[in-house]
Amino acid sequence: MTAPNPSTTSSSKRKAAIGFALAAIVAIELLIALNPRWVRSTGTLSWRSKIHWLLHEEPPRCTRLFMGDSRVLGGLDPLAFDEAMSDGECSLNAGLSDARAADQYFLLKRLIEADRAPKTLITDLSASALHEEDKDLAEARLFVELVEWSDLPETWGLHPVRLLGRKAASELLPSYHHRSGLREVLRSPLLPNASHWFAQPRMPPQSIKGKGRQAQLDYFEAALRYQRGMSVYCEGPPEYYPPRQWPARFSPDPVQVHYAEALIQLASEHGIQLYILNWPVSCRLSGNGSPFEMAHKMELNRIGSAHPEVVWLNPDMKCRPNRKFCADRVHFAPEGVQEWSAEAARLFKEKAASTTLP
Amino acid sequence: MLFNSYIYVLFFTGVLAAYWLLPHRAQNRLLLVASLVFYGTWNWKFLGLLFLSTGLDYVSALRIERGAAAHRKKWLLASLIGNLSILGIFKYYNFFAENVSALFAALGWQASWPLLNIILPVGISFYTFQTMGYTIDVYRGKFKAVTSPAELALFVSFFPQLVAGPIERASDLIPQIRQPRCFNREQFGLGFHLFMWGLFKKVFAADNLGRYIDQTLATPFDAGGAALYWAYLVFSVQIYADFAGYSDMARGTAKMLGFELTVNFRMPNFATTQVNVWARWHLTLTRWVRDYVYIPLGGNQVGSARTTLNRYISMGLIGLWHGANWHFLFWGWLNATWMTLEYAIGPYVRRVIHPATRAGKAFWMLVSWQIFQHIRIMNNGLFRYDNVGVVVEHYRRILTWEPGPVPFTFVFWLEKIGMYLVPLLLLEGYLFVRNDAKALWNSPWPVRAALYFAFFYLMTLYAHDGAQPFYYFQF
Repeated sequence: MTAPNPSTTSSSKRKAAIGFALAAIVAIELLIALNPRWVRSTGTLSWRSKIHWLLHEEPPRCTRLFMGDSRVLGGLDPLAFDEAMSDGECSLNAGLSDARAADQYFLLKRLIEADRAPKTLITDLSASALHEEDKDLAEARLFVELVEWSDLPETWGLHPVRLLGRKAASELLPSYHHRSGLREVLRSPLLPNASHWFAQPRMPPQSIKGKGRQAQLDYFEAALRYQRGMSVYCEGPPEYYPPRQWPARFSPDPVQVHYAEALIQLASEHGIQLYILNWPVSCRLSGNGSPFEMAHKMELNRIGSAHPEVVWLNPDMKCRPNRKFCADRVHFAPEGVQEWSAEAARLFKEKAASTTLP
Repeated sequence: MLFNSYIYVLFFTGVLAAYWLLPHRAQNRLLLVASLVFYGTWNWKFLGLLFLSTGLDYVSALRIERGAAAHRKKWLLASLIGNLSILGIFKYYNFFAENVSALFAALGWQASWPLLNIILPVGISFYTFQTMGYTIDVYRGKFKAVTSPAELALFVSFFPQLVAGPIERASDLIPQIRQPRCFNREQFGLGFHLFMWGLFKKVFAADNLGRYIDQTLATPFDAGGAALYWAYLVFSVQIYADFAGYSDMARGTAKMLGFELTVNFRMPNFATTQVNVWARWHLTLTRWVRDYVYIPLGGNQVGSARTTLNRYISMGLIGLWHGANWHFLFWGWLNATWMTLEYAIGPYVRRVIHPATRAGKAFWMLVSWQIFQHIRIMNNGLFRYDNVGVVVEHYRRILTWEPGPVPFTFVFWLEKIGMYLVPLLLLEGYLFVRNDAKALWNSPWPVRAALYFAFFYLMTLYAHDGAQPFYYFQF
């Protein structure tokens, strides 16, 4: 009898380890692929749920659309806006947390393709939407969800391999595609209240019928419809909101500026009247009139001068001592939302009267 | 091109597929071209510097070997001056000019040295030290000069270790370049395992911990003692996971190509003395400084005062290697001070504390580990900040446990720090206890299957969005 060859044994065990790991991974991936609803993130902040809702679920009855980042998501209330306008039109909030100009462009493109193009688009090209930072974070969201393979030729020169990599990973791995939802599923037993720190629907919590994840999911999806896409942020433990340090200089990201101009072009080509909100950046650190803010305004002016068809809404929102109504604070101040929305509606009404809509 | 990017996956897959189909000479040519492409993707203009450094050392080493004895030293000096000039201009010139101007201003003279508006070429500190090491070894007769320029070019530019080490010795890497390499499934598997382990350290631990660090340490005067203490501790693990992750990925990549690179880290988080920290951290740099600076200065064979001076010179050089700034020099000297104290006080402490039982030994080992790890953690303040005043203020806040505006909750700890810190430290602890860096590779197959499964999902779900650059690329 011969002794077992150690290298063969070790090699076969190694194969067994890899084989079992791969089998388990394939099983989990199949499970996720077959139950995508289970891993859909419940938070109204979830860009994935919202994009799905905007493109596939929400009936295309609203003609006004708000687009932008979390300042729009948490700051422009379609219900309050429509009430102030009282023109019988209906508004929808398509703000996405951390959205940049590129996200807004591709969202509009997908809405147009889905026959859900609005008549009027109010957007916020904030400093975060154009500034050269956190590029990858924004692209990760954008590419995985909003960009189609057919967009590759258009985007190739701007961000080629990352786009391909993320898109491929997202298409091949359901777990990568649904990672935000999966994180929430894994986190919820340990930190049941975590999602409430980030976003809180205005719909009364009594509307939650039943218990467990399914009930919570139903509640959040109902809240999304009830609030027409808007979320009210709720300030959680302060360590989650460390003071943001804006860089000393605003430096526009050429890729985002390209998409901002492409957004204007796209809206113009499809007869969508575009309004750009010009809100102050931040009161906490830079304040109105800071060099950062002025540089951002200069970039907007440059974009604006090349596109006379765009209508600018410049709210007179000064910093206040309690800092409640700065653009970056409006998320956390539900009482400020009414004021912001009314101010935006007032400006819109004023400008709309002097603008010939197509 | 970062190891943790999609483009690298495409690049390396392509290189690997072609590499194992080619004969030995063509493999080397492919590796050289791939290395130049790899470096050129950072900034193709700096390829000239790489060629310059390679050419200089190629000629110098041949002249040293073949030239008359009287000229050997001159050629060595030419190589050292050439390499140090490249490093000096691109890395240290502005630091020098600023300080000379400040010195003149302090003396009341109006003289302002012009500053250069240039960016630091990635990996310059690594490859210049590697090439200098080669020429010194030829001068010392420890290694024969390379006659093939392509062979030396591959030694200097070998892409797995080009931009952030390990700093290889000619005697370790060049024979491997010359040797025909055959595909070995075991070696390839181990290389892949090492690469994934490094990737896990980088994208799961370092990048996520870095987000917390950046939030807390970006506003250095806003945090209280508790938040700062945790930020310092986490920073220490973050830079380890980042750099050791890179080194593992470099070694894994090289292994898949049939090369063995030098181990750069030996679990420094478990070092129990200050000297032991430096026997476990960035080994190829410390070995370089030891062999080419510390020992030639006399090392520890020259009396205690000179030994201490040699230690300060060597550690100061290690500090300055990281960057042209006073805080790096102070960081090096602070490390030298702790080493000196350890050498001075250590024997007395060991005379007083000499536990007889195993439990007693383990207890004092634990105490020593905690003391020296905290020293390491606190030293890193000078590594992070270029303002010594900020670090001193942080020490004060930590020591007085000053209440800060940022309250600290367990939930926050768990979600932002613990889940990224604990898995890494547990796995590293396992390797340390087993005293085997390959213990994960050699563990029973169900354990390994579970580990691969966990690695895959932790990285898929929790990897930082977007490829984050490596911390040591700035050096």
